[in-house]
Amino acid sequence: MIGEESGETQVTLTIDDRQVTVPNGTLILKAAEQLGIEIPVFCYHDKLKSIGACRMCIVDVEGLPKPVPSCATEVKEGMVVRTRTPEVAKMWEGVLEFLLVNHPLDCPVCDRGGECPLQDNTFKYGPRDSRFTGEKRHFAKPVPLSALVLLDRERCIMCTRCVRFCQEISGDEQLKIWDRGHGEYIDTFPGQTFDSNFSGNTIELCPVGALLSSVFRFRARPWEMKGAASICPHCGVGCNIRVDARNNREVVRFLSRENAEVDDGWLCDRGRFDSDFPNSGARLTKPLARKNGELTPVEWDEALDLVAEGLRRAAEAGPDQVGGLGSPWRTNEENYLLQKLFRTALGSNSLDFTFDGRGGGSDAIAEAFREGFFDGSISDTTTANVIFVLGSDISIDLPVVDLWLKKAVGRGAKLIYAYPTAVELAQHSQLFLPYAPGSEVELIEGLAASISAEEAAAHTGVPAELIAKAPQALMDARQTLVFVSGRLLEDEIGHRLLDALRRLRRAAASGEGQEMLVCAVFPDTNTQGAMDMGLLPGRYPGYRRIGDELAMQTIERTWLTQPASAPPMSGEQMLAAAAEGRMQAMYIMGLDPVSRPVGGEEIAEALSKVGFLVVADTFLTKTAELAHVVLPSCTFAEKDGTLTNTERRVQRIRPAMRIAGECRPDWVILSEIARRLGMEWSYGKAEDVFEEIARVTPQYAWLDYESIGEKGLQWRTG
Amino acid sequence: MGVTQAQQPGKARLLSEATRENISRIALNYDSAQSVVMPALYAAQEQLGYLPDQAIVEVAEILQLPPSEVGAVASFYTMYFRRPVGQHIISVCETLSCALRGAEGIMEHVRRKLNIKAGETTADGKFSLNSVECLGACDMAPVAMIDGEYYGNLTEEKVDEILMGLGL
Ligand code: SF4
Ligand code: SF4
Ligand code: FES
Repeated sequence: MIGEESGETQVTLTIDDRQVTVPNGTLILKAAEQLGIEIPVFCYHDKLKSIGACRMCIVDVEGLPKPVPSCATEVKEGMVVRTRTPEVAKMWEGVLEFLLVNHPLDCPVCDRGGECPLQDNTFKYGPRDSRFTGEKRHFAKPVPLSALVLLDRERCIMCTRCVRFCQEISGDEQLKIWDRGHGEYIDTFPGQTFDSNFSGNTIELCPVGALLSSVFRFRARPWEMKGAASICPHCGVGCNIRVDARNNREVVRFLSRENAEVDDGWLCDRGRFDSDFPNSGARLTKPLARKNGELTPVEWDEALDLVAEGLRRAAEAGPDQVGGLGSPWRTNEENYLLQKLFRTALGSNSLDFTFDGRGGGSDAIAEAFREGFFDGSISDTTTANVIFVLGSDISIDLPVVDLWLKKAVGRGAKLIYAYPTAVELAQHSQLFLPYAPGSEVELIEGLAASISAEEAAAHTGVPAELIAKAPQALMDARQTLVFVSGRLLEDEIGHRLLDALRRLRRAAASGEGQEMLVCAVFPDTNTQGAMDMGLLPGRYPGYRRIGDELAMQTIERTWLTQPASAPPMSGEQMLAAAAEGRMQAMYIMGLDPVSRPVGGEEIAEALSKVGFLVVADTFLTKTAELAHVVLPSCTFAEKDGTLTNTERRVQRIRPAMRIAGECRPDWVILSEIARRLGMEWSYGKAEDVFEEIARVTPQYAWLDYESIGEKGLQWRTG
Repeated sequence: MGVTQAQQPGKARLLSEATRENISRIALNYDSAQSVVMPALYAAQEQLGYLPDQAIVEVAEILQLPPSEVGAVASFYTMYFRRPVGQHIISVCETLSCALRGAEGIMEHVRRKLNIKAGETTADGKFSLNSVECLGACDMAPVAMIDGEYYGNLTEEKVDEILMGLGL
C-alpha cells in the first residue's frame, strides 16, 4: 500500500458480474466473500499471513496472463474477476485431483470426515474420478507428536497452517516442514515432543484430518454431535467455546468459538483438552447422608430435609456459628443464591469463597471495584502503547492472554514485565524487572518516579538503571495497560498497592489524551463473579458495605426481607472458629479446600469439628468425605448460568448434555433448601436469578441474558 | 525454550572450538541470524562430514535460533547430509534439461557401477550417490556434481573415466 492513505481508500471491482466496493488492500478472496461468492481455500486462514501456497483459490482476472491466487492478490480499481468460468472450474478440479493423489481417502475412519474442507471442496469442485494409478505416499500413521496431538502424515496436504501457527501466533516454532518436494512432511525437531501450551489450536486449523486430538479421536462422528455455546471452565480468561456432546450424553470436545475481544479464536491446551470430566464415572450422582458414620445414598427429599433442618438448628444457636463458602467454579447465579440464603434464612453474613487469609487487602480491592478503579480489558492489548504486567505469570494464570501479549509485542507495543523470576513472557519484554517479592509498592513508586530509581532499587533489588527506563516509557505512552495480580491486591499490601497504582495512573495519564487502564488478574474461572455476588466478608452484592442503609433498602425491596447485618467472618476466620469447635454449621459449594497441596490437613481437622457440614459438589472430594450431607451438583456442561471473567465480562454458559444421574444445578439445590427454610423463592430458570442479580448489583444493572448474548458484556460502574 | 534444553550436561559437544569460532566469524557478515544458517551448517558439515541432530542443535544454540528452524533448513537442501556419507559424493541432476539429455541413463549407469541406489553409500564407505534437483548448469546437460566439482556433457564412457580416477 505504498503511497496510499492508510486504509481509507475504497476500490470498486467486479466479481462474477457483480460490483463490490472494498477498502484498498483487500484480498480478492475477502471481496468475493462480501458478495457471498465462495472460493475454496486450504492454506489461507484469516488469522495467518497469506502465503498463496496451495493454489486452491485461483481465479481468473481479466487482463492478467495467468490465473492468480485470490488469497494473495489485492483488489484493484476496475478489476474484473471471474470465479465461475469453465476454465476456473477445471483448474479447481485439477488442484483437487493433485491433492488427492497422495491422500489416503480413509474418510470412514477419519475424525474429520463429515466436517472436512478437503471432503467438502472435493464434493463441490473436485473431479469425480482419479486418474492416478501409482503408489501413494506412505507414512506410519498416526504418530504421536505429544500426549495430546497425533499426526497422520498421509492425510496431510502441506497447507502449512500448523507450521505458521507455531511461527506467527504461539511463536514456539515447534512444527516445521522437513525435507522437500514430494518427500516433505510436518514434524517437530527429531526426538522432541510438540511442546507448547497452545498445540491444540493446530488441530482446529488443520483443514484435513491430519492433526488429531488424542482426547477426541474416534469418539464421535460430526452428525452425532450437538454443540452448546459456552465458556471454558478452566481459567479467568473465559475463552468462548463450543462444547460438543455426543447424542446429548457425553461431552467429547471443546472447540473455539471465536470471541474477538476475549480469546481471538484460540484456546490453550489446558482448557481445550480438559473436556472429559463431566463424563466421569466417578461423579456423584445421588445425594449422600451420614448414617451410622457412613455416607449412604439417600433420596433428594431426605437429603434436603436434613440440610434444611441442620442449618436451621445451627442458625438458632447464633448467626456467628454458621457460614457458607461459594466457589470461583460456580456460576454467578449460584454464588448469588448461596449468599442470599445465608443473608435471609440464616441471618449470617459469614460468606467467602476461600479459606485463604486475606491480610486486609480484600476490603481495599472491594472498594476499588465499587469505585470502578479497574477498567482495563484484554482487548486493550491491541491498542496499548505500553503494557505493564505486575506479579502474574500470565502464561500460567491466564494462558490465552499470553498470546494477546505476544501479538501486542509483535505490533510494537512495549512490554514491561515485573515478576520475581524470568518467566517465558519476560523474555519477550522490552523491560524485565525481577523484583524481590513484597517490594511491589516500592517498585511502582519507582516507575511513577514518586521515589527515586535508586531508592526503588534499594527496596526491590532491581538495578536502578532498569527502573529509570520506565517513567519515560510511561510518559510517552498514549495508552498504558496494567495487568496486576489479584493475589497481590488481596494481600497485606493490597491497600498500599492500590494507592501506588493510583499514583502511577496520575503519572502515566497526566498528559492530554493519555490514559492508564488497569485489569486485575484472577486465574480462577469466576473469582470476579464470586466477589461481585457478595461472597466477600463485609460486602453485599456489588461491593456495598454491610450495614449501608441505602444498600439494605434496595436489597430489601427485592428480597422482601431485610438482609442480615450481623458481623461477618471471612473464610479464614470461619476456619479458625471451626478449629475451636465454634462452627455449628457450614455449607461448602463447589470447593475442595482439603485437597490443597499445603494446609489441607489442618483444614480437614477443623472441618471435622463443624457441627453440621454440607458439601455440594460434582465429585466425592476429600472435603465432601467429611460432610454430614453431600449433594450432587451439575457440572458447567449441564446447566445455564453466567461467569464473570478477569476483565469483568459477564458471559453465558449453556447446557451441552443431559444431566448426569440425579444431579441438580446448585441454583436449584439452593432454591430447594430455601423453600424448606420458609423462603418464597420462585426461580423457574437461571435467567430469573440473573434478573434479580441485575436488580441488586449496581454493576450488573444494565445486563440481561439477551444483551449478554453470545459474546458477553462487561459490567460497569455508575 | 528449545535452545536451552539442547545442551545436556555431560554430553560432549560435537562442534570444535575452531568450527564455533568460524561460525561466529561468519555471523559478523550478516544482519540476521537466519542468514547465517546455511554457511554455519556448511561449516559444521565440513568438520563432521555430515550433520547429526546434535550438530544442528549446537548450530542453533550458537545462532540463538530454535533448533527446529535450523533443522528444517538442513533437511531441505540436498547439499546437507543428515546421515554419514561416503568419501566421494556423486550428485546426478535429474531435473528437466538433464532429463531431456539422458540423465536417467547416466543415473542408471552410475547405479549399476556402484551397485547402490540413489541416497545410499557403498559398503566400503567410498561413494555416496544422490539424485538432485537442477544444478544450474543446463548448458552442459546432463550434469553431475562430484565432490563439489561440475562434470558436464556426461556420457557413460565419461562417467567410467571419472569413477576410475576416483579409484573405482
Ligand atoms: S498437518 Fe494439517 S495444518 Fe499442518 S500442513 Fe498438514 S494439512 Fe496443513
Ligand atoms: S486460557 Fe483459560 S479460558 Fe482460555 S482455554 Fe485456556 S484455560 Fe480455558
Ligand atoms: S488458499 Fe489461496 S493459495 Fe492456498
